[in-house]
Amino acid sequence: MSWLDKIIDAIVSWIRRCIPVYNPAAWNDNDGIQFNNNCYNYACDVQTGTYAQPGRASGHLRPAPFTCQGVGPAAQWDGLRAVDCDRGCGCRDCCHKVALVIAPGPGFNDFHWYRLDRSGGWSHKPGGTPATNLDNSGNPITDPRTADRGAYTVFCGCYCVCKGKVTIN
Amino acid sequence: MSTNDQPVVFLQVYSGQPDPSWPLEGEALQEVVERVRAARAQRTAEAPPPVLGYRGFRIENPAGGELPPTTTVWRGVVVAVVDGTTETWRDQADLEGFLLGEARRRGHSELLKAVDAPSASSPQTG
Repeated sequence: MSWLDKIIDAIVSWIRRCIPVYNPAAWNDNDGIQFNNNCYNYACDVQTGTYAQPGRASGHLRPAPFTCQGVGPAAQWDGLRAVDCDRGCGCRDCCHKVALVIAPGPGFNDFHWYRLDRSGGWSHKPGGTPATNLDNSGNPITDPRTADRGAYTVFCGCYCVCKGKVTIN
Repeated sequence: MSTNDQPVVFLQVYSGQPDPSWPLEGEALQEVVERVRAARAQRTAEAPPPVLGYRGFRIENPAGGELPPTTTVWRGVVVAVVDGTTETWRDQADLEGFLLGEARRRGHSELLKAVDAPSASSPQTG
């Protein structure tokens, strides 16, 4: 490996240090951690034990019905930053990327978040059930825009979660 | 979460917002106790990976006694923590089917229909 490759590797490693490692065991305890932390907790990589709701920590909780126009800005009040899904979060801050989707109904209205892991794959935690890197068809999630999301048919967009700049509850 | 020591059933269907829940008491509690006891007779493979939408039920029982502290059931598999160890059993007494009936009786029929929950229990796996 040339000195240039080593420098590039070092830079890439430095940037990726902020991206969470896919480690479902840290969430899937079949007990309080798993049951009291939802998709928003998992995507933000913060275990509050409060089933965190976008906007609640910042005093901008939006009641149902859940829409991209309601949940997205509420999350931004918590400190998340909107970003083009095809772009990274930059290296100025220590950030990782997440994605918001909505189940629009009728009869079933909810929101859900995915996160991009250090491996380059995406993972998620459906409510109080275990975290997984598989979609509804059992396939690894390479892109939440094309994954089988069941009833969560509306893709809202991507956001950056930057350490020290996001507070959820 | 329950606010006292009474067992509570959670219909695991949402991801972002809290799941519907209700206290487990009376004849329904006894029915669940018997069906969990029957399930313990046969171990099975691991539970299927979670999906978005309907994912069965979770019973939280903080007081201990006849039920494990936590029990989940979905697609024919019962998962419970017994003495700190997670065990998986075959839902041979159709605990999931019984809880589906309870959920419908408590007014969640439209929600279950919207997420294509089974009309009775799910096919058994494992």
